[in-house]
Amino acid sequence: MTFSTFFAFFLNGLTSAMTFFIIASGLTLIYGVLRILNLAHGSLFMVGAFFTFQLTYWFGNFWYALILAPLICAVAGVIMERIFLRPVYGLPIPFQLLLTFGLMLLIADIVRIFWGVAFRTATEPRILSGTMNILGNSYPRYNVFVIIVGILVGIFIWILLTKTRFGKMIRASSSDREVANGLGINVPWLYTAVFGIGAYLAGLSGVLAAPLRSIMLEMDVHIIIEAFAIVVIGGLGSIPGALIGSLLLGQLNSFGTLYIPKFEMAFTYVFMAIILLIRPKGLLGEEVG
Amino acid sequence: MVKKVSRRQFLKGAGAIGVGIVGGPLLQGLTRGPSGAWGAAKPIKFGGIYSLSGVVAAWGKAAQQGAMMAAMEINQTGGILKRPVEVRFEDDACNPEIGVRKTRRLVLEWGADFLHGFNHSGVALAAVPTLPELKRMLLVPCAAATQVTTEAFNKYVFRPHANCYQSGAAGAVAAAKLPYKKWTVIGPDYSYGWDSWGGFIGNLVKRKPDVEVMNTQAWPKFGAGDFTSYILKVIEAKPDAVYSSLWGGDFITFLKQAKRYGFFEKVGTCVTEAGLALDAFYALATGGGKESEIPEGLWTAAHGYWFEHPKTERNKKWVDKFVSMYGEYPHIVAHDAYGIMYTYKKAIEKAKSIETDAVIEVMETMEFETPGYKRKFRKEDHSAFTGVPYGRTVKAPELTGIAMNLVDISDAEIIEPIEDVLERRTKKTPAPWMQYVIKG
Amino acid sequence: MSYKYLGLIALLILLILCPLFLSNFLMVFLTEMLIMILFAISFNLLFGYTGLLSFGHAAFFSIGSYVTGLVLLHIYPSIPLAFVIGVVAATIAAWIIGFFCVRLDEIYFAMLTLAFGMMVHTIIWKWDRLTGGADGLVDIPRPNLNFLLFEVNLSSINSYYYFTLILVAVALYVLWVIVNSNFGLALRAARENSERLQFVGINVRRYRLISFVISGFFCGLAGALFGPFLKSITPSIAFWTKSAEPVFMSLLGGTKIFLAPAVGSVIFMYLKEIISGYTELWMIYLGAILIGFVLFLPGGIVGFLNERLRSRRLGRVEK
Repeated sequence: MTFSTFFAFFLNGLTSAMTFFIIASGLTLIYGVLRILNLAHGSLFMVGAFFTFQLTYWFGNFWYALILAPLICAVAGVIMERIFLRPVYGLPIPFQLLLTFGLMLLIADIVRIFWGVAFRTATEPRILSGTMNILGNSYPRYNVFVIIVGILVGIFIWILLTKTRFGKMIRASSSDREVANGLGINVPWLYTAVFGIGAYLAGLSGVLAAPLRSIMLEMDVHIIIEAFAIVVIGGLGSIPGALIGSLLLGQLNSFGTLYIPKFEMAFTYVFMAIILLIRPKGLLGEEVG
Repeated sequence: MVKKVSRRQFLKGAGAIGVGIVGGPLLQGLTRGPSGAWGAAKPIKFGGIYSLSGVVAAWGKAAQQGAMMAAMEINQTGGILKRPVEVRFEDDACNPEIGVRKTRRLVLEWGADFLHGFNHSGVALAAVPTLPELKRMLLVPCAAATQVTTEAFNKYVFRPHANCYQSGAAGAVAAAKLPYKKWTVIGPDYSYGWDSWGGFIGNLVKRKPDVEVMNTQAWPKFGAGDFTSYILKVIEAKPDAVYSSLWGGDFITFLKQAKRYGFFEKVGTCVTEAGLALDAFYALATGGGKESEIPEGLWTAAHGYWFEHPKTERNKKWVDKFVSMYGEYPHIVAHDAYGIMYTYKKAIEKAKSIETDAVIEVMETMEFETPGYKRKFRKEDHSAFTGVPYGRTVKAPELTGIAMNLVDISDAEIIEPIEDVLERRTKKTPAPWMQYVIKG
Repeated sequence: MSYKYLGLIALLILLILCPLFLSNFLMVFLTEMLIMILFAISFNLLFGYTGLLSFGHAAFFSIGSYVTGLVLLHIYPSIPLAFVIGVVAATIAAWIIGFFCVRLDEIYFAMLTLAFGMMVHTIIWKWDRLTGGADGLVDIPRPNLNFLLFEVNLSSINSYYYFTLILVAVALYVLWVIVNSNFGLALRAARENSERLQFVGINVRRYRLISFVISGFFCGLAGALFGPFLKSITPSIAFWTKSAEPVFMSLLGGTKIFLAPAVGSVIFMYLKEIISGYTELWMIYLGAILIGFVLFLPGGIVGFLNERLRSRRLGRVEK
């Protein structure tokens, strides 16, 4: 195969990786600080995608969706956290999973009520549609946009966690809750804020992914498994880990279709299993940041 | 002259398909049948199981449209055997397990006397074996995998619609005239996807021996949202032409994504038996319906029916009536589902009974009609003697931006010989064209 | 104590007499519910009694189902043979998967079982020459059962119901015996404090593995029953959402009492099958109930009732 085609596959993998990274970083951030594995995280992704469809349908403008949809998801996340999740901190994991599974079902049916059951599509904005010439191959502009946004989000999270006071509070709370409390950090408020950010990221990922694929019910159960796999491989609570996991999964999806079409799906889970058996904390450990 | 759909109506139609179906229960309510007007006549119940949600929801909705239209007409003209017709629909969500449950529910809980259904071949193949225990007939207007009338066949299933062998053979007739030698495929990874490709290429190879079936093929899962790696894979293999058994939302998504990679400029042509059915035309129309994202020069059969064709008086009148009722042109599944209700009516009235066995006996040698065509069942496998139209896309700003130029390919050339069918059924061997499905 | 036995016997009699007064549709529903009850209670051996949360148990259910189906379809249409091979296959799978999983604890155990479960799902889906791929196994036969000197026709709804009822009842009895044996006692001890148990010289890991395998065995049996019941099975029975079902049935019913998951199964199945006949929006109800349970009744229904009964029996004890 020519290098330019190879590069096109690589860029495809990178595009998926970026959408994965954004949602996975949200999931891992929430786990790192709140110790909650949120099964409804994928539902927020789905909500973001459906809102993108709706806003582009009403206003014909993708940018509204890009700005508004993640915010809507963040608000939904905050509501979820305050009303449903707060009572269950400290309950064992099975109950968390049960609760978030219940939320997942709830959100899925709410989406069904509003948007019905047909599949939807969303179109990318005019400026980003069409192709650009990369190494002699025509490559979609929108994909490049997604890659750039993914990198920006990564940088933003890094700055947030390492350079701001808020970030320091997050890192403190994730490593030791009691000490953090003792230091005067308002932990409950922090939890809500972190959950909101995580929800925002899930919604953002949904918005970016919307023009790339069809938007349907059942997106939630599929993306959440991929996000879990990434987070486990990268390390629960680790953002750089989420990045590595996403890159791995993204390229696997892309090149896997070419070289191992039969079982490429299984490789994700094989990696997950290997990591769990050899290095359960994941490739990059358990701290946040 | 087919009654033109005004732009407002068109947009409403596009909007309707784009925004999704009205909930099933609502439609169910509309078809309860006239109450009281028939005295104590017990209704005859027709249960329909279709994919009303998910990637091919538009196809399920089309079935509802066609069947309901026929049911209302039949009730207005005296019903069947002086009894009103009652219809109810269930959603299989393209899931074979759910399809089986809903089939059982319609018969055991609702008391369906007759069944029709299935868009998705996987669901059809799962449900057909339950028919003998339920003792109900099933007429299939859409699902096309050949196994339904070969390996999985039992006397209760009838298919008034062409199967993959027939449509494949018709496509081969058209493709044999084209100069392309190296063919590959991008299709959904399940029975219909394989069968549709196999039926096409198996017949093409017979007609045009210099055709080369490429080893690099793309088989994404049905309902996959993202076809981009598969698209790149196919482009990379540099085929002369590509066949696609993708359909419904899958094809729509595929087409949009493929255009971003310049797919249609890089391959000679793309042949798709069901991908470019009416739902795709509506979904991909732009500029208020005057243009389309669909390129010209693609070959398709619209899964067996295109509303402008055949240009008979009967077809035109039906299409006009459909448009005035629903505000959009009829999809192939609407056409066939409509035909099914009348096929049932004819058979039941001829048998003078709703006893399943009696109706089966009448139907298996019966001629029947759809708005566009006259067809007949073949007794041994309950498949239909029917032609399949094939044609190329051309610009048509007055319709859906782009439309089709169809030519009927008659049944004489394309129906699979019954000896082959029976041999496969008894020996339970896979179809010979499955050798062309290469997964790598 | 004797009340419980009386209640069970009454229930059993009711179940035996069901076909006389319930419609065919409800008999089909009841058959499936029995299968899911077996699935949930076998799962709960590992969860409630051993303290290990598995999110991949659909693997054993689906392996039992597929292997049984394949034997019936391609090797020899004999129900006993197919069931034995199917259950053995599921048990072997449980042994292999369990071997790896019991090395881990808590959330890592759950994640690893999830990974293995999805691996099984992928293999079933992609190995389409064998399993039929996305379309699955179709037209699984239900041949007559040659039992001792009788030939039993299983093709009717009611006969398969009785067949299922007998197998499930026997299986549950065996599980009950296991749970109440010394082995079961050790399991519960391991659940509470595995460290201390190891100091006493018990190989906790081995006990966990044995529990895992037994659980896989009976889940495989549930799967084996499922194939001929539905007559066609697809890869979706191996997807993680199917693995989640016994988890939630157990939590809903209660994990600490043997038959409690059955109550959870009834609720779950009722919502899924019956409510979905009235509205396509049954998931909202299920979701709300699950949430309500976690927030208000973490012991599950049976756990909650048990507490109430116990406190009443003990006299005036404040909650």
